Amino acid sequence: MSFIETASNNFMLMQVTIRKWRGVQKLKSGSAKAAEQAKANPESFRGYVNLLGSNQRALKDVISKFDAVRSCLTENSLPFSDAGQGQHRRGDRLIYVPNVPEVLTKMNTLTVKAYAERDAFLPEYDRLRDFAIQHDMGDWRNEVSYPTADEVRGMFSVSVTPPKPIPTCDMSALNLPAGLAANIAARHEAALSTQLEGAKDAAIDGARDHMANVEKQLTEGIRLHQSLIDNAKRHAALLRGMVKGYDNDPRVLQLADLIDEQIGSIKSIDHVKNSTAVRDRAVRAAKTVSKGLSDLAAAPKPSPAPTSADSIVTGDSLLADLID
Amino acid sequence: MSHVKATLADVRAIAAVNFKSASPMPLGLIGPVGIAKTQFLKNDFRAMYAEHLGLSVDQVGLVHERVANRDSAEIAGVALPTKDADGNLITKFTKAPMVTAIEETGKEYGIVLIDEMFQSAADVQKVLADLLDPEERTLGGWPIPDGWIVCFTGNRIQDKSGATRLLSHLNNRVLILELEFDISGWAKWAEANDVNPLAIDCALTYHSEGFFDQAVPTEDGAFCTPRSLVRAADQLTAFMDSGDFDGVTIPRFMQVLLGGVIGERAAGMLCRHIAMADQVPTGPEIHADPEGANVPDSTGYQLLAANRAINSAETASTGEAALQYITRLRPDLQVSLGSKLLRLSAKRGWVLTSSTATAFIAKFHELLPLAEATGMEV
Repeated sequence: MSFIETASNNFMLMQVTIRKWRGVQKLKSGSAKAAEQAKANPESFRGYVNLLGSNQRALKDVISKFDAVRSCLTENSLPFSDAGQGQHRRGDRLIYVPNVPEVLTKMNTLTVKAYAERDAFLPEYDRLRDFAIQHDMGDWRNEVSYPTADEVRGMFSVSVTPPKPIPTCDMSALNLPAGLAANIAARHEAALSTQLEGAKDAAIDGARDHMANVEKQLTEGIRLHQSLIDNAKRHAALLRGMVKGYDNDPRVLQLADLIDEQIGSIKSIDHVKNSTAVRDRAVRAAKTVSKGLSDLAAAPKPSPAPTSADSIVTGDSLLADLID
Repeated sequence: MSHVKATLADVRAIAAVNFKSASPMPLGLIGPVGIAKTQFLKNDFRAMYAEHLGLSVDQVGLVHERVANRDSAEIAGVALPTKDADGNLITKFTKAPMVTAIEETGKEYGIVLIDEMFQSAADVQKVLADLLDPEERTLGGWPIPDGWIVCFTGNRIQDKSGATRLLSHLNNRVLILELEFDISGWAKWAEANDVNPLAIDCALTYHSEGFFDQAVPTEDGAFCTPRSLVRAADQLTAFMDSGDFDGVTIPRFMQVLLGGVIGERAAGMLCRHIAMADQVPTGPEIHADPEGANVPDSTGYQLLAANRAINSAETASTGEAALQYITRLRPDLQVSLGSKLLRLSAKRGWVLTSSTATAFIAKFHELLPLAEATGMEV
């Protein structure tokens, strides 16, 4: 079984779509007037206004609850994209199968909270809107327009796609020449391999960056936060899930164990604050893991396993001639 | 609640910090029997303190007191009825013997080493409480010089050596660390102290298989600790230096002798190790030529050779050589030993990243979880 076949049995893909009303509006004439006052070219400036003015915070609280649903998926999954390093990776997220129920449950809980926050906000909406028009909008009040409370309700939604398996390419059902089918399958595998390696790299990079942060905070930091430990555990779980579902790399598993044993096992951040020995142990582990993951990130990547396509002559080949 | 665990390297680093503090805390090392706690405090700790002070080791005194077989009066000094200048009957106390011992060294700086602290009686611990208090530092009312540091050793309750829990008010005054045994550190020390190399090699090779007893056996009898191995190694060296040794065979009487010192199981491992020692390449030989080093036919010998290479690997380059050698062994050993080495490399901070390592993972990725789940890692 290749890495990809192993991965297709161990991972699922999920996506979440969040719709939200940001409560901002672009001002055309207001921007032109502001540019005029600044003796600037009116074409070079576009101004935006918070429609709820001094009460925008109430809307932001709703938005942040909806954003939390996406954050939950992002934090507990890995990107599944062929975008390279530094490029934006949108779309499906990769989740280790044993973690799927937990992530879905967490997302459901957050979704319920988000809708509750929205529903608590809406009865106040008309009052906040009127207040903003009266006290915050000034000359812009003629230019701004507001949706109704019902329209605002409809603008907020969370849609989680049902988890789906990694799409593998089964060409056996198609009546294609063997070489062509194998060639298509090989290309598909190569693309999947890039996406899976990208996910592994993302897990390694995320854990390495957090370990560097742990080392820095525990060495120089003054205000230590519990999230240092919680995020260490989360990164260890992501690393372990990625590797167990993909290539079973013992090096990464050992580093994940090290994070859990030496940092994740600390019951509370207060133990780090109060014990030099615990702190030193955690710093040493963070250094070792950070270095190990950096080395792994720079290590050569496995070349895709040879497929049957490699042994079949295609293209300008004998088979192509025969098909011709 | 348990004590914080630390390796010798940790203890060294911690001690260096402790020396610099305004009032160094008494340091207690606890752990299983025979892992060189006392040796460390008598030698390394004293040398570190001397270095911190910028003195030679000889200029730092040492007073070593085993308190397990003392009673409180022997520690604190005894009461003597006497008369004052007016002829009234009064009681005076003799100077605490440990304070006298410190004065007799004539040293301004030194180490007071209280051995077997956890085996001492509660009344002894109570008497020592003031000595262990960094703010007090007195014994029977007699102060100890400012330049002297107090440290102590003890076993854990599970070590079945008569140890009990330390009285809680003492726990609160001192720094206690549970010493974790570090095989590579011990091996370096053993090499430097002329311990029989075959005994060291055996300990390194079979450490992960429990060569040293992790806990005191439930039945009476000898058991293997670093200390008992050193004693057994002395006997072994004496035999091997004699004309009776043919270079390979360890006769039955020697196995009995070794068993009497380190237990039958460890003695059996040691004798088998010696018997096959000349057929199997050593770790350094494998590191020097992983492609050319001999691969024995027998599985057991292959296992031994690879374990030697793994256990003596201390850098990425020697680790890579060990992995290269492992890829020449039987496939089942390749999986288990390769997985072990890759994990070890990450743990020790020189993770293997060569194309050999990548190819190994690609080839065996399906079997690696089996190796771990079924305990194939040897």
